[in-house]
Amino acid sequence: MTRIQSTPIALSITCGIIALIALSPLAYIILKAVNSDFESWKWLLRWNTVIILWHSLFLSVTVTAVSASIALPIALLTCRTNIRLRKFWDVTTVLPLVIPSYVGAYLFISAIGPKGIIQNIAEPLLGWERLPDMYGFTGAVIVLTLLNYPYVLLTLRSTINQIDPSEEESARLLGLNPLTTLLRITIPQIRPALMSGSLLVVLYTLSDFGAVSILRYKTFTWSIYNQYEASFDRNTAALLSVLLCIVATSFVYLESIMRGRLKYFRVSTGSARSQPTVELGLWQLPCIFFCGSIVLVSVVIPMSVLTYWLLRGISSGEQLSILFGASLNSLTLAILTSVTVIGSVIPVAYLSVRHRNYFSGLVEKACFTGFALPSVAVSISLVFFAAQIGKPIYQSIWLLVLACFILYLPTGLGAVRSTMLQISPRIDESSRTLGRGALRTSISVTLPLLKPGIVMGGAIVFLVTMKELPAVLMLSPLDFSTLTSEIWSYSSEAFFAKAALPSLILILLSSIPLTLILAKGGFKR
Amino acid sequence: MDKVLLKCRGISKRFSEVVAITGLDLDLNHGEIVSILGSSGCGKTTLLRLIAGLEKPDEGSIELEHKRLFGKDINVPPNKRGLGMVFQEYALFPHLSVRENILFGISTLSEKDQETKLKKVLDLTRIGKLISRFPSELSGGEQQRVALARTLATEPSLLLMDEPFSNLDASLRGSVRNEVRGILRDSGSTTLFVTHDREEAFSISDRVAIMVDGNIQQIDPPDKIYFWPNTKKVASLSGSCDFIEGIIKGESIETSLGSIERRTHSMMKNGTNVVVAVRSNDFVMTPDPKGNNVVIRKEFRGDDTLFWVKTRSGETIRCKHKIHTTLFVGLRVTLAPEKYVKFNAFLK
Repeated sequence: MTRIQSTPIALSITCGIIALIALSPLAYIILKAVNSDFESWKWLLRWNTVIILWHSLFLSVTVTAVSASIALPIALLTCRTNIRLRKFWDVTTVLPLVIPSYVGAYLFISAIGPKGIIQNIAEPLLGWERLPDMYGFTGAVIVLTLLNYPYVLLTLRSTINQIDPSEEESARLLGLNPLTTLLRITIPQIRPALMSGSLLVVLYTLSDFGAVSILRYKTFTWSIYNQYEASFDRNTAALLSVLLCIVATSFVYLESIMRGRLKYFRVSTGSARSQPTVELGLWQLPCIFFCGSIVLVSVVIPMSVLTYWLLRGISSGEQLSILFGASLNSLTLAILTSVTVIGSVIPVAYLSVRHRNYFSGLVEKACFTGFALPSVAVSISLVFFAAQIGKPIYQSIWLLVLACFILYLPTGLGAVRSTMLQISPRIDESSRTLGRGALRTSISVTLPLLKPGIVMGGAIVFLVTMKELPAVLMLSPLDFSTLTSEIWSYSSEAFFAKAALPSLILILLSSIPLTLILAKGGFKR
Repeated sequence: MDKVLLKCRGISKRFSEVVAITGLDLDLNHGEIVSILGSSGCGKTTLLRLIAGLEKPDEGSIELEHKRLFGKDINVPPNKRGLGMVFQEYALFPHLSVRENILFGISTLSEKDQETKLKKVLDLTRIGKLISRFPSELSGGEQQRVALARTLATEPSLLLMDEPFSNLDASLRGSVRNEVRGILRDSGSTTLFVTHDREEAFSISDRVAIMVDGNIQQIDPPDKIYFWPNTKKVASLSGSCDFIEGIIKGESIETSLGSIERRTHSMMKNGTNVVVAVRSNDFVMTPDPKGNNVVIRKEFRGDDTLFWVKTRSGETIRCKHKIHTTLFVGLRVTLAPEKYVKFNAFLK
């Protein structure tokens, strides 16, 4: 009983157009793949394809498993125990989110790779000529895990904090001890969150391009980019993209099957009660050691390495003027993307929550496709699009904005939609019975109440767009450089010191939205 | 002036497979308070939402003060209907203060008129002190009054209230109810409200409509509903009630509890098999070792004690008694009809 009246036509048309835009890259590469000639198909069916498929799958599964096993204990420790410095761990364990994967990879290599910091120190002292090889799988797993585990952590944390404690309390009264309560009651309740957080990591790993390239691990994204850069025949890149999209979509599908009809946890209805906490006692020290070492390797060491290169760079004199332009470009791109995404997401969320029917379900699904599309694939498809139809926006920033829009529409939609779901339809209805029409109700009631979701969604989209690399590399107009492309061009050529300053600026700019996200944004009365 | 304010004719509404309301008629007079009483799922909230324009009827017509709100080719949107609704969960706007909430519906008026109306409803509902608070800083009863004030400020020709007291503590409900009744009387609002609480419906309204399976079975003043129910359903919804079998014999009914006097508002031939509605205070219970009936359960209620008594024929009726201690389970008793009580018989 949520419908007021039949769906407004203008709203349906707007949302329909947004859905079509979101679907277009997928449609386009599929079309391209279907129309490919026999040679391209034959090229695809090589042993090499099997290897990169294996690489991508193996990497994303490993990274996800390790991320989950780091995130779960941290989530439980920081939400449900009396661990010392709880607030401190709350903040520091999500900080890796501001470090883009290619920055992480470059710092990693610059520290322990050939000609890296450690070798510089160790060679004269100990006479080491070679360090263990950290390129390839091992390096990729270490870097991507340390930078991606916060995605699982954040989903877990928000779920754990919302669980109704009465179920755990009744388990205790029915004779379970704290440990068995944790295993039999709490963990099953947070399993859906664990899965959706893991899905995020799988998808980010599959679509990661920067880190695997710097660490020289040949995955799908690496192959697609190189096919695209190296050959004139871009059809093979499209074919590989289709394959990558299929892999990514299967993970999304797999997650939805595994979750099945599993209901999410029950949210407590009464006044908020504090969550039960476990006294750590003698375990305090080992637990602090665990959290501390994760923060050390994922935040402290990378930032120290960055500082080292920064100081080296300053002593050799850097050009700051170019970076000013690149920072401005990065900001422009991130702001344009956030604004367009939020502007589109509001009508879609309204339609999908307030007017549930077949059409709105389709629109919602269409808008979420970008979630499973790696940015390399979206970029390839937009290259084709720009060359054939989209001439007017070819070689302009708008093509890049379009790519980021499609990629991050789901991110914004998720945040705004979940806030929309919390607004009771009775609130809209009482505005209607008090004499305000549908449009005036949306502006004076719904929109102000959506503010927390809008701030949150906007901040996340801003953050991820700032970090976006492949789309920037493939779709930027000539002479258009952003912080990410600066970092990329220096770090891929091993100019570590030169890459340090843009990395630091990028990290600092990304921290602004992260503070908003951590503060949970907006009012809560 | 015609005294009919709201006129509903032949309203039907179904939600995919579920029929919510079927061919319902309802008339409301100026200034009266009418409650719709029914068990959950009988369609009473849907009826309110249809009148408010929040849902669209499949068929039928709705008129308010001779203005067609719904009918063939007409469906006035909720914001143009000129009626007010107070929701079960109050639906106050959480981002607006009490003052802003109340002014929400009258924002198109001049500032002076807004202030006048604001003052009027504040006096009426006595919430002047809460004016700058936000909804989350109010208790349930306060939220209730703010929601009422917000709606009354628009001076609706008809006020709709959906289970307005169900979210309140039992201890608070009685006093808030009296207060709301006073406010409604003082403001002279015609009110239609929905409830599943019998006591609430009886105490607050001029007329009570009993709703069963998507239709109104009887609409009458509370005492008439209680003493003269038209159907078995109305009898059991209007008060705790047991049914025993009987046979019509002139002015009385032969039952396992002997011959009892009947109300003769319906024509029934001698020898008709009927069921008789028995309220818990209809019979006087007296301990008697030779009695035909046995106490099988008792429940202490404070003011009185409720006894379950098994009759000679195996039927069970409930019976109130002031004495608690000397009456016990297993005791044999006689049951005699209370003086002046007449019983309602229904066809089986």
